[in-house]
Amino acid sequence: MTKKIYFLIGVLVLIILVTAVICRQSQKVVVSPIEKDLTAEEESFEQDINELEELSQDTSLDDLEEGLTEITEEKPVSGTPETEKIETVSIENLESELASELSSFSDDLNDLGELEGDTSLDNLDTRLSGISE
Amino acid sequence: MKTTMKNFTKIISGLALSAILFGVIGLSGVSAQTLKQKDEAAKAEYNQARQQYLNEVNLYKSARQELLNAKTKYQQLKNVENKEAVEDAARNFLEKAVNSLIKRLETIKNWVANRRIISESEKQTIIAEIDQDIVWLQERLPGIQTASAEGIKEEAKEIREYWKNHRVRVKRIIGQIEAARINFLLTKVESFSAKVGEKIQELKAAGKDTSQLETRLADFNSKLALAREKYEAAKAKFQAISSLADVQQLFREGHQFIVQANQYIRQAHAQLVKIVAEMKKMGQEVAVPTGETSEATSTD
Repeated sequence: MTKKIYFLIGVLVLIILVTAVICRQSQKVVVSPIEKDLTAEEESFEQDINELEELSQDTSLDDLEEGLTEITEEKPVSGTPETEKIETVSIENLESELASELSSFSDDLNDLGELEGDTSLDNLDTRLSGISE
Repeated sequence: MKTTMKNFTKIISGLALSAILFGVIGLSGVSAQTLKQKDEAAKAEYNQARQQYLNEVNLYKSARQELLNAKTKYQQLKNVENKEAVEDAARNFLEKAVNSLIKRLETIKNWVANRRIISESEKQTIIAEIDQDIVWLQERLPGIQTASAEGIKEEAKEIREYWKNHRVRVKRIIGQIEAARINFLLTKVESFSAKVGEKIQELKAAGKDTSQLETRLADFNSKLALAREKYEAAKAKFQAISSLADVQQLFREGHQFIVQANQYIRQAHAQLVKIVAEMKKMGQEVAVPTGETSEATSTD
């Protein structure tokens, strides 16, 4: 019994659907061939206008000039050049070394002066003559 | 017990490692002695040798006084005992005189031997000459100690003759040392000239105006050339020392040339100080472009 009821409802829904489709189709306005063509032309025109508008607003190649410039012209180096530095500290060290050597030389000359000027044994000759004669 | 042994082992290991570490550091410290430290050590050794000489001179003076006293006593009483006392005093005096001469030569030898500031070849020449004299004097000592009355006189004559030559030789040797010493200094400074010249060229290549530096370097070199002339003149004077007659004059003239050479080197040093100051003004570091990179590419 229940099955039958469901079956009947299903058939009913189907009938309603089919009826609705048929009704809709029958409500379409009938357009004349000329009007049809005109409509198609309008649509096509609108489409073209839209496309042209898109084209006019296209920015995809805005940097083309720069790119072409990079290719055709030599580009100068950007940033600071590589450098090496000349040190002069080594010459300062030479000067210090010379100052030290001159000081050392003065000391040495004094030492040698003491040795040369030593008179401790100067009277040796007289003393020896007292023994040998 | 086990824990105690473990701790004990750790402590011993730690101490052993520390000892090895300090040993290594100490050795490396010794081997890394600076030139200044070596110079100071050489100086200390020389001062020690000099002090030994002065001590020997004091003994010589005491021996001389004892000889005078013994002679006076013998004059007052001419007996065998006093005569022998005079002979003993004479032997002692001769021995002390010879020891003093040896110590004097050893002092000079010590001065030369331990210094780095004389070339090795000159050092060896001087030391060889000194050693000859030392050997001769040392050979006299046994004869003096056993000399008879007549023998003492002969020994005294020989030493007296030696003493005349000794004074000439010592002055000549000291002159040679002075010349060798300034030659060492001069040679070193002359080697600086090339390095300074190279540095000036570097600055010139970097675009700096180095005309003043070049003038100073030229003056530096001319001073060194004059110093070199004075050194050669001094060397010639010292080499000419051969007799007592001219030793004083020749030594004095040679020494004066050494002093003049030293003054010229000091003047060269003064120029070097100015060169350094000017280089500092230019900037210790000058940026020198080493080369530009390019990115040119073909468009064909």
